[in-house]
Amino acid sequence: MKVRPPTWNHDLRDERTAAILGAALGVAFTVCFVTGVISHLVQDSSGWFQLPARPAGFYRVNQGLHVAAGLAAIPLLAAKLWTVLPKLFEWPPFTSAAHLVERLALLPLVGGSLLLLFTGLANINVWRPWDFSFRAGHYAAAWFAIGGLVVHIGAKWSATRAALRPASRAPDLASDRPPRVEHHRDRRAFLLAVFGTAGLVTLFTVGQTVAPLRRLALLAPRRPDIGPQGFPVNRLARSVGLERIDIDDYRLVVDGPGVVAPRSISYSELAAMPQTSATLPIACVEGWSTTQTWTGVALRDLLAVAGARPGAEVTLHALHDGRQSRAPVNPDQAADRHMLLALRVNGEILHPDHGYPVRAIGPNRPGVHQTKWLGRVEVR
Amino acid sequence: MTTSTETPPDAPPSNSTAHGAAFWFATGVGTAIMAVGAVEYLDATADFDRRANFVAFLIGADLAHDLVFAPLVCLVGWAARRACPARAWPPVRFGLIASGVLLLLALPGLRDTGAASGNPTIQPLDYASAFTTTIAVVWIIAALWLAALRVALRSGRSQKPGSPGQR
Repeated sequence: MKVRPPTWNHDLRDERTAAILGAALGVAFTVCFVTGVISHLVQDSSGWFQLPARPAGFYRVNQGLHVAAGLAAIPLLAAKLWTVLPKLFEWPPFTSAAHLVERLALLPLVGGSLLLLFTGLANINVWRPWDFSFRAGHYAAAWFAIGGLVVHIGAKWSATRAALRPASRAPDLASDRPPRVEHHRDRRAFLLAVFGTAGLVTLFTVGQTVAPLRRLALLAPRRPDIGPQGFPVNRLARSVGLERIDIDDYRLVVDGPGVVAPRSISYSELAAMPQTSATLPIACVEGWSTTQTWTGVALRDLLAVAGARPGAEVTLHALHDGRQSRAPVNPDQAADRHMLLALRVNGEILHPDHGYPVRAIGPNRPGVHQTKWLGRVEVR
Repeated sequence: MTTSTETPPDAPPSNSTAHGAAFWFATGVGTAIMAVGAVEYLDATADFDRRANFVAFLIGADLAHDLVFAPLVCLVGWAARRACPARAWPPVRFGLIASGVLLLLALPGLRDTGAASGNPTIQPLDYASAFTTTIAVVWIIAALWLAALRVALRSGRSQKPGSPGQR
């Protein structure tokens, strides 16, 4: 094969390459958007969107997919932008009002997509070199990117369909160019390189939530088996001033308009109540998760002791104030036999960083709702 | 079979995209979706400086790509392609793409961005050696790909740029 001097109008910068990469990105971004909106709504303080208690691992899979699809999209987006780069310099910049609209929609699409992937990667590495709230900015950028994508698909739909049609592999009979067999092979090699890179990205990160692959997760910011008592921590006890707790003074308060007999229960009384064990994951919004065996008092047993009405809404309050000090438990979760107020994990008393003396843990709840250093159960 | 009104798939990207009723419908839907994003953001963030910072990052992401990353990648790719023998280019290209992307992924760990949190479970690995391992994997794959190309060529079959086992 003769060495062809590289030119601006590169071999690979054609409709079919752009269409294939675009379709793959469409799939990745749709997965990210759906899983991301679910996760965002679950954490919404108004609590209008609730997850049922079962399947217990749904949120874990949701967040794992979100981060995995987002990371895999990085090489796909990079390749797509490279493929269409010459179009940035088209002259004249637009030839009709519709064409102008189509090009303007690229600003939210490209800017939003780049910002999503950058803030996503940075956030899971606890790096936030910006002033806005990650949650608010990442969520808004998602709607901008998806909105821009819808306009983009509207403009490119028929061209994409034509470019992806198998018949398009036949030589172009409308031109006098010879069949570009070498071109097809190079396109395949290029796409193999790009999709292969996406595969490697996944291989080297997804073990942070898919436990059997954890030893391969060389580039993940968490390992599900590294931390006090064998699993990671998001918030340290000292960051909320709860490294040392006088356990004799500790009381778990159960009160609120929904209970007949408010209680103030000591730690030893909790330990003396019937204990339930459950093997449950903690699934962080950052896409990592870890499964442990928890032992404690089932919330529904505690609510029964306090005379709570059936179907009551519960709010968990931590001993500290501020961020993540409150979490809802919807009636379906509250009634689940594995919604626990845990005193032990894997048979050991909870480490302070894991929420000693008591933490909430239940099926299908985001990590931020598995309240550590529990102080009060409010029932309405 | 392509017709004269359709863009040949091998052609450079063109301006001949459809701008009919379906496009305008999609524009309406897309604009509504973006409006949801704007309302959500304004609702969640009252502070003007934070809003301005967010918009700056949104535009800055575009600019950083167009003015910094894209030229850099094109330059590196162009120089590498010139330096590389033509037959070795597909596996070398893979090696460069994969190395660049994995470097991007490893950068926060290499720069220890989680150190300020004081939480040792954030970025718990030795990312320098972990990253080196991933790069070694990439170039081993590239070397195997190159070897497969050479075997295919030597055996007289027409050159196929697939990895071992791919037809």
